[in-house]
Amino acid sequence: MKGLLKMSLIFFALSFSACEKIVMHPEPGTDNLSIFNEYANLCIDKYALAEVKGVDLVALADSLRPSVTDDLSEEALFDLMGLFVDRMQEGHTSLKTIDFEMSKSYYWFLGYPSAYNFLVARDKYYGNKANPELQIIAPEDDLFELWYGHLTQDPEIGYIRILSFDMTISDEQLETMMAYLKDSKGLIIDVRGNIGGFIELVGRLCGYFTTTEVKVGTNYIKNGPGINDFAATEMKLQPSGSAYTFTKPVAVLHDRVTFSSGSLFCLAMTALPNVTTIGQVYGGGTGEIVDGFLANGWLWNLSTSNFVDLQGRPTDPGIEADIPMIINPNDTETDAIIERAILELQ
Amino acid sequence: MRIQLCKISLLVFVLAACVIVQAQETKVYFGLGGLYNSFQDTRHSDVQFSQTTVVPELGFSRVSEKNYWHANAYFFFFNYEFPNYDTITYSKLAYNVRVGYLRNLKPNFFVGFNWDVLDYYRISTDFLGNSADAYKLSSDFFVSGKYIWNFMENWQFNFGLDLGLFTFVNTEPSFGANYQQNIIDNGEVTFIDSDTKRPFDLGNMAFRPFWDQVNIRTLIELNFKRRLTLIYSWDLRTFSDNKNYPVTDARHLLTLRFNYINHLKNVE
Repeated sequence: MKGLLKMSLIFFALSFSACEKIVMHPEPGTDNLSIFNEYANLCIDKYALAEVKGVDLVALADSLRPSVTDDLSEEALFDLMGLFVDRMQEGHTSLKTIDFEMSKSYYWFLGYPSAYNFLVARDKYYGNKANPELQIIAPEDDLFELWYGHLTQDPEIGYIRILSFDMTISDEQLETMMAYLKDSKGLIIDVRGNIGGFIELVGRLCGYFTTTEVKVGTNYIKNGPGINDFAATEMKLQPSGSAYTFTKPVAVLHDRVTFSSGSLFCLAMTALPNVTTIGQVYGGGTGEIVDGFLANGWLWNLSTSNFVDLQGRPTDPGIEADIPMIINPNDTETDAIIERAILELQ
Repeated sequence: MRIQLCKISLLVFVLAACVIVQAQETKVYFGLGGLYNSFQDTRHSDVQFSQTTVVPELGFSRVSEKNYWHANAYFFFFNYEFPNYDTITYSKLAYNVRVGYLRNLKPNFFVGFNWDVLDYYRISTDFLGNSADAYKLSSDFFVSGKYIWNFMENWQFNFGLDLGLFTFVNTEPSFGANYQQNIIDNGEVTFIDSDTKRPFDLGNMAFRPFWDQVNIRTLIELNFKRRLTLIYSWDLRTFSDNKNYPVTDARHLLTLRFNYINHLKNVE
């Protein structure tokens, strides 16, 4: 018995070592067909919006696969695989090389008329020249700034301009901002041109506009490779609990460029009874995103969830505003959408 | 009186005869080793990563004829390159803290438990966005066996095997998002994602029994004059949130330990 135990331990200690290659999947190939199959399988397994966008990725892969031959150049293979990106029609979804020499993305805003003129909004409403009293939150390491204050066009109306949620803003800074704006009779929050950033900042900011927990929609996130492998999360806004919670009328301005966390901000605010949205159908990109590398180092991004609003509509293609509007691009004096929001809040 | 003395003497003799004199060896050591790490996360890619690095460790062991106590801690950090595209680099930080107790079952053969109190890694890259970071923090319970073989004077071999029984684990990303799989499956995603993406949040740990994972550690130790130990260990962990999408992390560790406290005493 003793000998058996001893020999067993020695046997296992020696024989198990270095066996990890047995349990690992084989290293993927870097030939054209292997790279194509790797990407096609990723898209089929993980992309969450195939039904929403009306694309059959299995059929697409099967139709393209015969064209993938060993003598295909790298550029030609990339173009062929870029058809997946085209067909998935989602702004986060992309394929690129690390040096960006080859890049394929879907531009969700192309083909839409303009609903925002940056120069007019800055020079006539919130910039230093137009409105020197406006406050700025300018995080040191971030590219973007957040502007807030009262409009000269109607000093009783507060205005918050958020060009991006890709900023580090503390709870104290948000509290200071909302304290500053607390006496406004209405508030305009302008997220036109906002292409997203930290979802957490969206959640914390939206929490200042409700005193109760509010359901926003349902996020169906891929939790497995099967076509029906989704797990549902009821997404809710949590109240900030601040003394400066703002429950008076709010107008949220968005355009087609408003994307990702920018769109999620609009989506969340729409769930509140005191909020009116004005502008153009927002850009979407409301799902979860994962990214990674193919075996040859090409970088991929995919959207892995389908965020459905309270009416059951998929929000990734964008949702129309309560008051749909665009601007006249030749008007260099007034921003028709801000003007409409002022009227709405007066 | 003589009879009384005889009885007392007999009693003392019997008690003394019942006391077993044991040797108890205590070691406190510092080790420096070389690690070869293989890693694959098929949720996102079948690419296999591997790298070597230096690993410092500290530990303690106390062995008697009846008991085997030990504690050990090590950490490592390295950068590894993407196999087919060396411009892409990842960094990996990992550490492990464990304790164990084994009981003598047969001469030189011990059976007991090992508890990896903390086993943690974080992998990061600047080349990705949402999936730039991945982590795993687990607390693992093993059933352990150890055999001590004194094959020559001053030379001793130890053979060990740990088999994972169950684990509490907090790891992300999941199959389809940058949250833990149980957060996704339970519908607990929130706008405030920092509430769920905390590796050290014990509330987000998932229970994983042995039939949901493979968690093995083998160990071969060569002790020389109780002062030096050369040890080779192999740790393998492979688990799947989804069938056919395993995450595999294997560590080969060759370490030279210097037992700077080495105390042998007889205990009763």
